[in-house]
Amino acid sequence: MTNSNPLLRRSQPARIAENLYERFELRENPFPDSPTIVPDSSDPRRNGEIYCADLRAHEQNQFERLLIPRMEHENRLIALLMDYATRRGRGIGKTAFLNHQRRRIMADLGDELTDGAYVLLAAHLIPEGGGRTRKFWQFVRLVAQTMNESKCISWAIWRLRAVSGLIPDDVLAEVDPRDPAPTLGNDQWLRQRGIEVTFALNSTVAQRLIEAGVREEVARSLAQGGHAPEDWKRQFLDHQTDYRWRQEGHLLVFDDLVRLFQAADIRQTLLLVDEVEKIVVPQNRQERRTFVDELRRHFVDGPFQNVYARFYGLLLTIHPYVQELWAPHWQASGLDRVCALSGGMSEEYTIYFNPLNAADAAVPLVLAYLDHFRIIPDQRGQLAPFDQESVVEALRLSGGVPGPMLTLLRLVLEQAIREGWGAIRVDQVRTVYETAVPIEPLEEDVPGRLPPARVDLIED
Amino acid sequence: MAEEYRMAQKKQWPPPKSREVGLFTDLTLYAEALALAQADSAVTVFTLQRELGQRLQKMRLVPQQSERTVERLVREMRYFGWLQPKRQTGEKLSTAPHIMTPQGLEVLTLSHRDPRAFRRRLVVKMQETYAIPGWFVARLWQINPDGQGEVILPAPLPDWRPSSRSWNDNDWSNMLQRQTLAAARQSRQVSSSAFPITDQDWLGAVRHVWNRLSKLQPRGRRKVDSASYSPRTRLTLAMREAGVNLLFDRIPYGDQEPDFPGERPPIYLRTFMGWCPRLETLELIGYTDWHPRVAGRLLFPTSVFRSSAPTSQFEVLREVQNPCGDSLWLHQPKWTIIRDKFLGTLVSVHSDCSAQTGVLYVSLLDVRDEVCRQLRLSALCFDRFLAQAIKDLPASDFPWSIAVETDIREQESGGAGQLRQPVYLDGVPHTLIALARLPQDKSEKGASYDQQQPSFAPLTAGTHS
Repeated sequence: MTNSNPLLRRSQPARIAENLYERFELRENPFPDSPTIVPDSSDPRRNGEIYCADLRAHEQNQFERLLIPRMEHENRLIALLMDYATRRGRGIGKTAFLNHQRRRIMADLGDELTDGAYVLLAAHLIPEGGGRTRKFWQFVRLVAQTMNESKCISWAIWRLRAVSGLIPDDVLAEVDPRDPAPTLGNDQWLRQRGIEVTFALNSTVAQRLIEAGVREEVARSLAQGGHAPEDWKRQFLDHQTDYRWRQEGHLLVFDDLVRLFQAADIRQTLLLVDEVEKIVVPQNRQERRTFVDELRRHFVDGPFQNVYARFYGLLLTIHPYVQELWAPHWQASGLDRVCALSGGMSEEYTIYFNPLNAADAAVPLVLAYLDHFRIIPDQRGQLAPFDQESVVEALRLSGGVPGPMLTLLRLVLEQAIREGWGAIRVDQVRTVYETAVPIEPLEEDVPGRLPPARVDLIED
Repeated sequence: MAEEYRMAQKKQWPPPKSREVGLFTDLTLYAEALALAQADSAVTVFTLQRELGQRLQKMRLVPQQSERTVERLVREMRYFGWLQPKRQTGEKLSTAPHIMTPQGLEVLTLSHRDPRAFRRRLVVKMQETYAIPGWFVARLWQINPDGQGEVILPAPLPDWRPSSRSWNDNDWSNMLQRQTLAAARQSRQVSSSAFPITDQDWLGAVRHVWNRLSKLQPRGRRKVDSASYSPRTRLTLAMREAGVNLLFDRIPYGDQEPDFPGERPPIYLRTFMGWCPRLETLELIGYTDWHPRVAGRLLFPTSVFRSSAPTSQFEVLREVQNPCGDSLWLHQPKWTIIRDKFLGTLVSVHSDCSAQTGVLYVSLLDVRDEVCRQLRLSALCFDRFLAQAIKDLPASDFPWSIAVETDIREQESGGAGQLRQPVYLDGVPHTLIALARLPQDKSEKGASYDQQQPSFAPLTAGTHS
């Protein structure tokens, strides 16, 4: 008998629910209930793990051409990812795309992408809304925090530890090269293997960083906590006041951290900035001008290690309104010669992100989700309970935007369970679409054709 | 048939007797001015300006007419033969007293007794004086005979919101070029033959007007160095002027033969903007600048030149003829003929609007514009038919409730939105409409109205207004 006293009553353990989706040969509803990608989520529907790379192959090629350094050509310092479907609502797949590119790079530190020529890192930056990233120093703080959270800094420290000469080969052999966090990133693990961490390993790393030109205070904090993002956040980042970010934040990001990465023999770190409108729209004219001037100074021609080494690659995700807001300031600051924001040359710096073609894209996209949740592996590659026509119609109704389509299909499957539908046909998708409240109102960039006149004034 | 229509337009229209058209669009001014002339035995511009009452023009209150408007009103009524100068001394129009003619008295009586007949009389008089009403209708049909005369004058797409520029920064940029082409492309996408201009001609014409506007000095006391302008507003103006110049010139676009003798264009942008609401009120055309799927102005005729037509659907104006001798027939179907089509269209258009916005109550003005476009009805016909539809409810073959509301929507409470004609039901302007299916056996005839339509919960009051 449970205690009804509100002070003492305990939550009951969740009962194992019946899998309602079993009759469709699915472990659960494969389509996400969240409209956005949450990279840190453990749910594969939300963290971008389920991704259909073929649908954005063209964009991926452009991304590699513009931003990945190769022996034969230099990459762009700054490039743009242009979303041409903002009026159709959110969910075109930019965040999933950026997240996928970050995962690709971080999986082997750019080994495959550069044919083994360079070591690369990548961070996916999502600015805060409400004007909290409209100043350049706030943007700099975001860069530092995101590089820490996405383990860019940890990777540099792990690499420095690995080549310090203080870790024997047999211990290094135990390290998983794709994920050194539990080993090289764990002081306790190293100590258990007889390695003196505090006075030997960390001191050596700190000394190496100081020799590379990193300021002493930063070098010591990196050596002590940089191997574990949580530690460095707690020991260093959280102690930086707004005043200090304003005064010295740019030195940390564009000098110290660049020297850290170079000391760890990393060729480049890509900063993939999502939702730039959260930076630009709240800015006033002066702030816009100042921001692009600061971009130029810190990425192109200022007295910083980043500029000397052409270290950071910057990808800014924009849409036409942002382009319009920034264009005069961008030109005035001379950034057009580094990365043309508008005009004929902009195509040389821009990845265009268009809505998907329903007929080509719907089936592979839906299969990627269904396959991931099939109970029996043999069932993979089958669209059931949908058919081709119904999934194509779902993407067409969603204006070629994948996010709303996935939401729609989630609702269709839920209704199929409730109503006991055996198979899902195009009419059922349309019916759910017409009552699907959670989807943002469709406002089409390419509007549908107007219905013809229902009368004929010449013939009637 | 379309080709025959095209061939029939080869002869020229007679030159207009006057080009000095008044740009006022409130046609009730004629009857009110005549009533004042009758009451005061003679009127001047000054007395008319003082005595013409304040009025609601569309959704905007106009407390007093400007002197220029009243002067144009008096001049027009002299052309029409409804007013004449009291003394034949060559006095200036602005100061001369005018008296009503017997023809004016007859028209005044007609305006009280039969407003519809009064409107038809106005069409005839305007045709005699300006030749524009009939020509305008014929030109719409000539531009797009395959699309029932539907024409689009493009404007920049709604999501283009550039920041203001300094007055001297007026170069024709790639962005302007892209926007100009995008607007044309979108117009063709929504209605393939409603904008038959080639990209090259369109681009050249818009750029030409843009450059002309860019050479103008800023208004008022603003100086060139400190003044700024909105690129969107200027490009909108440039597109509109270019569209009118290309499509409503004396020589039809893509043709060789002029419609009128002489060199002057029959219509300029300024007069075009005045004629559209006039012709709409006279039930010859319909137009809207607010169609949710169209960036720009959408025009369509609600009348046509024919040799004959069924009188159950059309009303003829024999005095208005095209150069081939065909008369103008106004699409004025009887309620019994159009009822099923009207109700079906109303349901489907409401459903589309509702799906677009995600709410049940949608703009009645948007619904009106689209229903009128699909059925080639005038706005006055729509008002009449909607009132009739509500009056007939509940109807066993139409299992729907119709609710209309008078709330002024934000869009119509200020700016250009105030110039949209509301829907009048029992003399009261209405702006919102919701349709909801009543619980009823779908096997009945009414099911045909709501194929593929969502089922809404029934409205509590059924119908109310």
